[in-house]
Amino acid sequence: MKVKTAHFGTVEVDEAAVITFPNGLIGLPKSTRFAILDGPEGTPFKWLQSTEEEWLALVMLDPLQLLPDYQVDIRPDDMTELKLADPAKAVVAVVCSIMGDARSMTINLVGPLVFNPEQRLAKQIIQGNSDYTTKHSVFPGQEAASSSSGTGGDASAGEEV
Amino acid sequence: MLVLSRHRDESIIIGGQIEVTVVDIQGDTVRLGISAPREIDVHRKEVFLAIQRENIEAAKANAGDLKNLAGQLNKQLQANKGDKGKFIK
Repeated sequence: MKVKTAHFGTVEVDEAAVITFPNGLIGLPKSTRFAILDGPEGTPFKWLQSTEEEWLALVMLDPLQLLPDYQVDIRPDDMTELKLADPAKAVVAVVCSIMGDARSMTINLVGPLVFNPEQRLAKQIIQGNSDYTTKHSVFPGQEAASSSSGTGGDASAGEEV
Repeated sequence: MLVLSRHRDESIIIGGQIEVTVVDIQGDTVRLGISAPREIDVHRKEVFLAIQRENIEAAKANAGDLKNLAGQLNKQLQANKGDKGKFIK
């Protein structure tokens, strides 16, 4: 199927490979169908591209490559929604944000993406662990550059929430 | 917004399927119990908004920026391989 994208023009996507987020992404319920596109060659980045809204494309990374101790708590209801019998079969990705200067990157550890590849189902879940932040710096030493951390309540001046 | 008063142990029913109960009241803090169908997610609003905002922020990334960051990232991944599993806050 042909998918219109803001970054890549029109791309050809195998319909069978399309992933369904039954409730969409958190706060963005309009898109429930996504394709996974490769990032730049030689990089571990992947794109999660909505097949329904051109502008909605998120960069994903495997968190375990950066944080081998990162543990995701998948609730039983989420397991059922994803038709996952075995949590070991779940594939977890985190959403990356690129800082304005394109010299640094953060990953969202509070709202990971959980995939059931066999069923082509996925869900963005919220982690209650307060050690995790929505803006975890990927490159150490750049913590100072990012002004907000922690979950919730971190709106900075002039930001509309 | 519909505003209702409830005492401890009283409930409201939303859409015939979601029930919110006042479980406890201690000073400023109200403990709420929520029963909802499995497919309906319930979250604290500030966390929901933080994730929503982060999703929207993340959607601003572009392919050019990624290429620029790729080199740095690969270096970081190599460094991490040597540095077994330290969770950097």
